[in-house]
Amino acid sequence: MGIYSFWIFDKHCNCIFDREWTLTSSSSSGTINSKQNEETAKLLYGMVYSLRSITQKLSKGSIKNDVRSISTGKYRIHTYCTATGVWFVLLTDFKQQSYTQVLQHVYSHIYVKFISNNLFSPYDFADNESEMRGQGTRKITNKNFIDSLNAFLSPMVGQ
Amino acid sequence: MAIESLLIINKSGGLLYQRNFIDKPPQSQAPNQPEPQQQLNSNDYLILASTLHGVFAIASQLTPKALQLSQNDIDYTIPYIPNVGMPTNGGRTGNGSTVGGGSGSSGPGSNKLGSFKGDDFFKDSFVSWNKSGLRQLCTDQFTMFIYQTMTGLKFVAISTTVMPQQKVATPSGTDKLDRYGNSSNLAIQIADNFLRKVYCLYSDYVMKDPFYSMEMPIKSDLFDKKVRAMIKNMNE
Amino acid sequence: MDPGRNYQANHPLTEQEKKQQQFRLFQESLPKVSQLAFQMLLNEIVPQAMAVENELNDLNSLEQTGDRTSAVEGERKGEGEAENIPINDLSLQEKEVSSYNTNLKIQPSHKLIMELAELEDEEKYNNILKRLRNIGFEMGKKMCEMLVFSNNPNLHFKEMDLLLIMKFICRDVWKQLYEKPIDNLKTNHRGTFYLIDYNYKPIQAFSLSEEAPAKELKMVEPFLEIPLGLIKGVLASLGYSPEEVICISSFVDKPADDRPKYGFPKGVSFHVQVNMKPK
Repeated sequence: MGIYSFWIFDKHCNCIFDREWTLTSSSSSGTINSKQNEETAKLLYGMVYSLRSITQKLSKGSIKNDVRSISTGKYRIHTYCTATGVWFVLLTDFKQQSYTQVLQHVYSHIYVKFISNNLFSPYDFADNESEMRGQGTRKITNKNFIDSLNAFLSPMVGQ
Repeated sequence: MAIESLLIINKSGGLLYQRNFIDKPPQSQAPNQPEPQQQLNSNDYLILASTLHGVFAIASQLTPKALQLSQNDIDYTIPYIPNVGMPTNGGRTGNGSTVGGGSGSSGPGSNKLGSFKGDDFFKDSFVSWNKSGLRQLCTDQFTMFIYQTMTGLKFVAISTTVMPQQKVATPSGTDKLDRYGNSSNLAIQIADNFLRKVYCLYSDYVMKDPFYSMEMPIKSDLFDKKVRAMIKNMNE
Repeated sequence: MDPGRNYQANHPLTEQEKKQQQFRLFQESLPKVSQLAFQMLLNEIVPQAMAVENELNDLNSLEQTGDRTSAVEGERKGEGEAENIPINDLSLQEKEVSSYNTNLKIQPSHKLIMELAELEDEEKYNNILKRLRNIGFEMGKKMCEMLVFSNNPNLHFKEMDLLLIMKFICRDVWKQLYEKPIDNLKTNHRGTFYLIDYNYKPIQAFSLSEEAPAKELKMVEPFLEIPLGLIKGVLASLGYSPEEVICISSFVDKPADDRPKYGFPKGVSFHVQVNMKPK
């Protein structure tokens, strides 16, 4: 099993996409934008947020210091934060240590193409003031995005 | 692996001990690395400690469903890596490759002061108690390692080595890769070995200090000296 | 395009090659615009047309109610109550805002498009489509002028019949705008043409959600008004007045073999019917 789940957070602390694979054997298993994952998403966001703030406090000089990966005894969390405030978070096993390239590809070839460049999809997923600060429920339901993301990440599931 | 900073956090998230060891620029650091601009004050470190403590608890709740379902056994055994943070002169156990490297300045026999432990403190692989909590944090500028004891005490080391990299900057880094998996996992193992030794020092010099009261900041000079010596050996 | 360049050193240039070279130099001298930025602007026309229509409607309704400012305030009050903001504060804000522009509501594009697709007012919907087609029409006329002026040696406007004009649209006009020619041109040689583009570029990234393919098509429809107007505009500037030309768009299935994996699921077909010979 290579990767366990994939999350996108927008700049309003909302989880706008989640994909979790539940079976190691099948890359089509699991859930997309599951309601059950809402709490997990909040915990994950909080964890990455806290560690990011620590990291930035401990950074030297003026160069921005960002979290690359977080390991526990069981899994590893890889993060990629863009300047526009979007976070891409990937939960994986221990085998491979750098998923930066993978997350960068998701951002540049899939997210920008099918979300930013898609006039039917909102650019900002929080619709009004009340949906900011982690209260938003809107998700990416875009078919092109989901299909191409699946095609890109699925081969890594059973690795 | 150069250790920049060491923290000890008690089981309720309080900061017991915090030292920086950056006054001497470590070897692995690039020469044009900018100097630290603003030092964190003690309050910042208290916040840092409690944040880490909180995140530590969250991490165990985030275990992916795939892992919960498959129940596959993860081996938490950390192999014993000889002479991490130990001076290597004086004809000690030399059959394993040295990792901490370099010759220490502390005289022979000084390790034994007040301790019944052996030269290298322990010689067996051990099982990590830190099964689902935070173990390593990799950032653009440093790597943080966390070792948790059975009693909930956390030893945190901040290393200037940036992970992931091709191999760990040790003399024997390359042949270790095959034995212990990739370099990042090896780094965790080295750090666990090192922090376990700090734990040994803690039990030797802090727990045996009659003036120390539990869960309070550590002010033992002896402990401080020993830790500094060990980190000096690590950084060399 | 390149033979002129290859044989330049060995042979004196023929007349045709000279023209080719001149045209190439001319094209290289043109200012370049990022295709991405251009496509974005082109696509933004549609939601903006909706916004303009909304704005006009608001203005009309204000004029009908007579005193303009009181109407504005009334509307603001209604909003204020809904959002639970004290009215006093709002009136202050209102004054500040109104010094810049009068009561302009800014909405994100995707909402405007959604609003447009869900519009029940037939007349309003048609007005917007008409406006879009007109933008395309104007673009087409000027575009054509531009291409004729550029002295492209591959184009011979003197002996152009309708088929050649359609080919000109498919190849040159389309390439200029969308970086690719039309995929397929069908005709019955009696003034009916089908221009089929399986990967119409501006809509390739568009996608709504998995559950609503029909709605997705409905939302794309307004975007096809621009190329429709464009075709009409080119024809108009080459002597076929817009009254004589009927232009409709429809969706076609993509051919099974070269179906790209991701992108818009349907191809687009532009049906052009020209009724009269040019004068």
